[in-house]
Order: sequence, then structure tokens, then C-alpha cells
Amino acid sequence: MTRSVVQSPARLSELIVRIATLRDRAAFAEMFDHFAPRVKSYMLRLGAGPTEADDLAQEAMLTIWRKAARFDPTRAGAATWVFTIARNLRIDALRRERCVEPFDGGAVPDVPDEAAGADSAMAAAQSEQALRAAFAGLSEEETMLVRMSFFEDQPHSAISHTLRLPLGTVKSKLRRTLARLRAILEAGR
Amino acid sequence: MSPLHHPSDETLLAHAAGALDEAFRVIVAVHIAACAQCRSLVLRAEQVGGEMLDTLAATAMTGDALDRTLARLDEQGPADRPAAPPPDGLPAALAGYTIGRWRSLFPGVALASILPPERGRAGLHLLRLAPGRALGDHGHGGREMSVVIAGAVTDERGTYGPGDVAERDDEAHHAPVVVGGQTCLCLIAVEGRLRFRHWALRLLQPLIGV
Ligand SMILES: [Zn+2]
Repeated sequence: MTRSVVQSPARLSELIVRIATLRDRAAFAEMFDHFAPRVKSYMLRLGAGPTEADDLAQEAMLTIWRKAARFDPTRAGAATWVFTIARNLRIDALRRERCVEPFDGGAVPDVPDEAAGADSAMAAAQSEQALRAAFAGLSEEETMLVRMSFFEDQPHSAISHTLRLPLGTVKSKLRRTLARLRAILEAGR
Repeated sequence: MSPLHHPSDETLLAHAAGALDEAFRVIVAVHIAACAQCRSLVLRAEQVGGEMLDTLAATAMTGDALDRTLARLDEQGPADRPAAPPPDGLPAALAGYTIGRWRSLFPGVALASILPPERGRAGLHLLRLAPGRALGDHGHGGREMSVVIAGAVTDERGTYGPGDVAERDDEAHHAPVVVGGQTCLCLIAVEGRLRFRHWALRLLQPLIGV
């Protein structure tokens, strides 16, 4: 049975805050129902096997429970925060796979998190809406290019294969799309 | 002072997506720690990631996944201790990494490896150049990205000070030269081997491992 509950961004932020402050297991279960199946899809898209994807999704949920106190709802939405957790877990998993000698650096450091100043924080919290609007302004192909940049193991060659475009064209198209996205976002500021 | 030379938008997007090779990821992390502009762009891209994650079709978890996860909530997590801080004068992004022994490439130029290049993985090295020194005309088997930590270098594209990133994915040879009276310390990530034009450097390469 697919339990995939769609929650509003405000509700999801509230759930993380409840986990942080009240260690609320019911809130956690609700978060799990919303995010675990999506994180699993994310891991599958990036080439994990079904068991590994399931394990990584559970691991991501555990990380949410442990790090909930570090979530700052004024900086980014719940989905953004969960995305960075899932992304970092995948980076760690790849590193473990490849490392012969143990790596003593521990988890991927949240460098941008620690370093983010108030300047970007406020802008970021307000811009998720703008971002959604900006995406609406992109063509289907442009949206696909950005999407595949996030969800493919070898983004450039996957895009090239899917859209039947030479690699050089993919890179220049992606560059143009990003410039357009940036322009839309900056115009709306 | 904020940096003047930034990674490309593509690189920042790849960084946010988690798609950058480790060596390049460290270079970008050093830059964004010093650059509010790129930091907010990466955050934007992470928001795109969040948006994408939220719109992904759900894949059913195994039946007892929630129960198993709930049962683990009270487990002691991996210690959330911060990684060992890097040696003095090195950026926080190098926390937890072991810096290799400094080896002299030629007079005035020394290199310490952090991640040795491997098949399919870029190498990461610290490079120290004395005033007036040049790295030596070189090209690349693949992509090269570097960030200045202290001092400044110049090449035909401009002058690079602390936090500035130089990114190249072409076959062009270039020979950065130190400017000013200060020793230049930079971090360099290279895909494939550096291709030095000078025969003596090519000869030395197997010994220095770059
Ligand atoms: Zn920058």
C-alpha cells in the first residue's frame, strides 16, 4: 500500500518543529508518511537498488529526528531541508562505497548551513514561492533539464540520451536555462 | 572582501544537487563560505531540489519500515561531533581531511595531496607558490578547478585573490604566476592528470603523483 500523504509546506515545517521541541513521535510518523516514499524515489532515481533506497530513506528519516533542532523554518522550507539531508546521505553512501581506507571526516559537513548569513536567510525563506512561480515560466524542456540535473546519476549524458541531443548542446541549453531561471528570480525580487 | 571570480551556475547547481565529485565539492565549499552571492544561489538551487523532491512520485516503503524506524529513534546516533578542525590557516571546508606531506615540485613550488587522483575521481591538492613563481605551463586531461586561500595569482584571464575560483574544462594550457610579495596558497582539484608542457615536470610527475 502506498501511503503518500500530501501535506502543506506550513504543516511540514510545523511537524519538524514539533519533533525538535516535543520529541513528538506522531509528528514523526506523519513526516515519515510524507517524505520517506519520496526520498526512496529520489534514491532510486539516482541509481540505488530497491533495498538500499529503502534503507537510505529510513536513514534520512532518522537524521530528521536527530537533527530537527537544527531546522530553521525562516531559512528554508521543510522540503528543502529534507532534500539536503537526503543528498548528503547519498554523498556519504557513495564515498563509503568508493573509499578503500576509512575516511575519518565523518558526515558531509553542512558548510553552507553554518556559513549562511542573515542576508541569504531572509531572502531564501521568501523565495520559495517565487521559485514555484519561476518554474511555471519555464518551458517543459527547460523544466526537464533542471529536473534531470537533480535526479540523474550522470545528468549530462542522461539528458543527452533522453532528449537525443549532443553533449555540448545539453551543456549550453542547461546554461541558458539557468540564466533564464536566475533572471526570472532576480526580476521578481 | 568578497571574491570576484565565481564558479559557473552549472557548477553551483551541481554542487546543490550533490552531483559534484568530492574534490570539486570542497573547492566550491571554500568559495561559498566566502561568497554570500553564491551561497544564496546554492540555497536557491537547494530549494529547487526540495521542490523536485516534493513533486516526485512516491515509492511505497517496505511494510514495516515505519515501525522499524520508530524502534530506532532512541538509538544513539552516530556522534554528531564536529570533524577535527583543519590546520591553522586552512579553510573550514577541509575539516576532517588528512593533509599529505609537503613535497617540493621545483624551487618555490610545493604540493601536498589531500585526495590522490584515482580512476574516475578527481585529485585534490594544496599548492604553495613563492612570490614570483609560476605553476608551470600545463593543460588538463579533464576539468580543473582551483580556489585561492591566501596570496594572489594571475593568468591571462585575470588576477585571483582569496576565495576566487578558476574553473577550466578545456584543453588550453595556462601558467598562473604569483603576484605580490606574499606566498600563494591555493587548493586545486584536477580530473585526470595535469599535463605539464615542460619535459622535466613530466618526468617528475610519477614521483609527485599529480
Ligand atoms: Zn561567488
